[in-house]
Amino acid sequence: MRRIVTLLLICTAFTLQSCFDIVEDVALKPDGSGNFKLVLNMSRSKTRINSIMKMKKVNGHDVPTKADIKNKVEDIEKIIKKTTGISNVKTVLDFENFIATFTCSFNNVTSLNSAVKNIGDKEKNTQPGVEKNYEYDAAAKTFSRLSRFSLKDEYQKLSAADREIFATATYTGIFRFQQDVSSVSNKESKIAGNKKAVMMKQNALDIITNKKSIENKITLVK
Amino acid sequence: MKKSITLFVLMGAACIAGRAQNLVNKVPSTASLVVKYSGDNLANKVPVKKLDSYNFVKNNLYKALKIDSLTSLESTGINFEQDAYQYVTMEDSSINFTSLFALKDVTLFLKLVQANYQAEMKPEKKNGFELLAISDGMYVGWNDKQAALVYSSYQNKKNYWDNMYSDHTVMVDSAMVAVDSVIAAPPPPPPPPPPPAKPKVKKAAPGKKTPAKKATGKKGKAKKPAPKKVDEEVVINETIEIAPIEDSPYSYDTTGQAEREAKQAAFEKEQNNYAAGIQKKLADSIINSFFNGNTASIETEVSYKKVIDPAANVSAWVNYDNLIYQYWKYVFGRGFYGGPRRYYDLGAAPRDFGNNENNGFRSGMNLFFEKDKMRMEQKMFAPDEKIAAMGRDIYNSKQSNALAGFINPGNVGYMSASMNTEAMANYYYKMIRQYLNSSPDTRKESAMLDVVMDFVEILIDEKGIADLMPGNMVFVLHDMKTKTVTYTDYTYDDNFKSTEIKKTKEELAPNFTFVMETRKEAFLKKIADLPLKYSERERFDYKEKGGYYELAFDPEKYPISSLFFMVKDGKGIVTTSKEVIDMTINNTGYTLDAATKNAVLNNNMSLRIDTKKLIQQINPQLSTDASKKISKYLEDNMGDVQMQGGLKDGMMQTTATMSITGNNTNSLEFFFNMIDEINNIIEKDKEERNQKID
Repeated sequence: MRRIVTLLLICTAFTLQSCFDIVEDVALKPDGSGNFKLVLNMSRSKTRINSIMKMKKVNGHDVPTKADIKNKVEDIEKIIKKTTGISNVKTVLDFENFIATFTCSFNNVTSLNSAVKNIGDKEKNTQPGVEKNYEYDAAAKTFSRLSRFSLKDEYQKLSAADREIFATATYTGIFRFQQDVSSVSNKESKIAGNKKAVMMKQNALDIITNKKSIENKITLVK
Repeated sequence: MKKSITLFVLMGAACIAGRAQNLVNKVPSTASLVVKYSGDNLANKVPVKKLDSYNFVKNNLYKALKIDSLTSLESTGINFEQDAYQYVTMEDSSINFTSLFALKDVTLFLKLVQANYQAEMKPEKKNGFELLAISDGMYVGWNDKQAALVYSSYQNKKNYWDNMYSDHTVMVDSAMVAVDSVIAAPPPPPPPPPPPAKPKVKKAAPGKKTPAKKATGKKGKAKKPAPKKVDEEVVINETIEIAPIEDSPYSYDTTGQAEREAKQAAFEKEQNNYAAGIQKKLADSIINSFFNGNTASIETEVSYKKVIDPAANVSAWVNYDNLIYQYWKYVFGRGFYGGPRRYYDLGAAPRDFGNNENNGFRSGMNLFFEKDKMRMEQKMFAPDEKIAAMGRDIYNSKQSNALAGFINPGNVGYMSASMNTEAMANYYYKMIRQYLNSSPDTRKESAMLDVVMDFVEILIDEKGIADLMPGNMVFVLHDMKTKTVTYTDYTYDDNFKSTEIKKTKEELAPNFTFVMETRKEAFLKKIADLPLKYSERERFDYKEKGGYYELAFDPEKYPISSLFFMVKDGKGIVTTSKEVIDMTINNTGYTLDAATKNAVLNNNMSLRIDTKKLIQQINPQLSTDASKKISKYLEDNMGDVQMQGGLKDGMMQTTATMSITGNNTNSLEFFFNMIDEINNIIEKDKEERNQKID
């Protein structure tokens, strides 16, 4: 959590008005392969980030340079590229608007889970449940977004100033399919007009503190 | 640490007090810091019953003091209608914090002590008072009417590793004997474990005459022990076997590790016992002096009367000489680079002013809680006429009309300073010389230091610095403008197809000016011109604009669009305001209201912050409910903050005020109301957050 905070802290300033959005976009084909996109959008805080990037420390955390961030992202990219079943790995870092976009293709969702696990291992993550985020049962035509780990304890350990980062942060999850969606288990999620996508938007703090869940079992039309 | 916090809370509680009972007579003139909590004043302004009603008092102070939340501060047994004093003294390598206060009910007071410190309540009967050891460093003495609480901390404990690697062992102890003139007999340390079969260096304990060992280092000159000042009670005469350097613990040789650890534990225990002995002796002496002694009171110190106003609700007197010395002691007393302390560091040595009398500045702070404002008056006085004259020289300066013209009416805040920087440099040279000469270690090199300081004075041309910055300067926060910035977001259609869009939001951009006078205009112009040579290579937008320079920032990236630099008519200007630049080009300025003009031109220091305006302008940027509520409370209850300072009655004096508004009986009540309100908001917010988490 502290590593995440260190990276995210650059999107805060002395007034600690936090603002970042995470967008997770999964496009799944009937055979279980697909494309994955993760966007970290800190554009709302770009003037503050620019100011903070001129500083060495903020809230007691070292402020990474652009080179530090690039190196870190390259390291993560390398890990993902080595994961079996993952291809077309690409990261775009937009330092003008402070938007990071990661995209890749996957042969099956197990590969995606492995990629996340490998990153977790590299970062010495000890949280159980991080390794399983997606499940797809082609026969039963069900896709599940899982969330089997909790950041609540880690969050509670943070200082008040660090907690502020998450005050207005948002998470958006979009899952696209070639078949129609027949039902969703999470009442907070919406089915698209064309029935081929599901979207859920939540306050990041609600997710971290387990007030709301991003878990969702999506059943497709057989 | 917890105990220390509780101690200070306890002292704080003791200090909401009233009429004088001449406790000041018991505050010694040798004190470095004296705080007086005065009377009728405080108790009448916020009665104890009112204090009891505050949630933060019940939930925090009561808890800290382990008082039943259903009772009252009265149950501390402390008489809140009498004066209370706190003071700091330094002697025998120890710092002593003493609190003197009156008692209403001694039984209740002892209950309070017992609840907080779990002390074994077996007080010693002394002459006219009882003494209780709360811990190794904390003692309380009392009779039916008064109490004295002393926290003593011995600062000269030796470091085991330092002794391991130093052949100055003998020096340490002999020095210690000279320093710690009143030493109690500490219990003997446990016998050290059998030493390894290697050559040993025998370490002398205080009071034990030991032949000096020839030093190998520069500082390691052997000295004769100085046993003359040793109190007859000094009986640390055990010898500690110190292993030679070859037996280094850093070698990671695990052979004999347990033995070394035992030896270290024994050494540290001896040091702790030694410290505890000194602390007890000092505390006993201070408390005895409080009840029975004829102390030369701080009131006999001429500077105390000069700077302390008896009518103040709270006052503090500070002897800077001693405090600065203590600061150096703290810095150097730990050894260079944070390593172990060595005997020749300042911390291990007594201070002796020698020919440099302890006549530096004394400062007095007088705090008044008036109906509509808090007022703080600060005075600086030096008993030494030469030093006093140097202080007056620093303030021998007057703010210029031209600089005052940069302060716009309706500003958020400004600060104006007018000082003679050349006099300031001269003052610091003298002070540095004095401090170096008052340290036993550096004093012996005084001839060399004198030459070094002369050389520094030659290298640092204070006249040149004074020409560059004569000492007149003004900083103005004109306003906090909002600026529209664009950012990227995404929208989604019915089918959740995302589209990148641009949105706008308002952000705060401070609009400020800093201006200073200079007699080195040509040099400042060179500095202002320099970035032009590098702007292309370093890719920043810095341009000469005909009489001024503009450093432009990408408006999309930074809250400030431009920073302007200008050197004109003996002034160096840095500003975000194009209006200020235009005014300077046209040789015009803002027209000040009479009060501000008077404050700026007739004082060496002048400051004003329009609190309401500042809060109002920051408000839209606050993101959490709690911070918005706190901000609203402060906006409703806080008025302007002002400060003015200059020479008055031959002393440097400063008066700072903070006016209050809102529904408060007086400014002291505002102070408690504010803490209570902010505490309530934060606690409620915490509760809501926890509910969210659960």
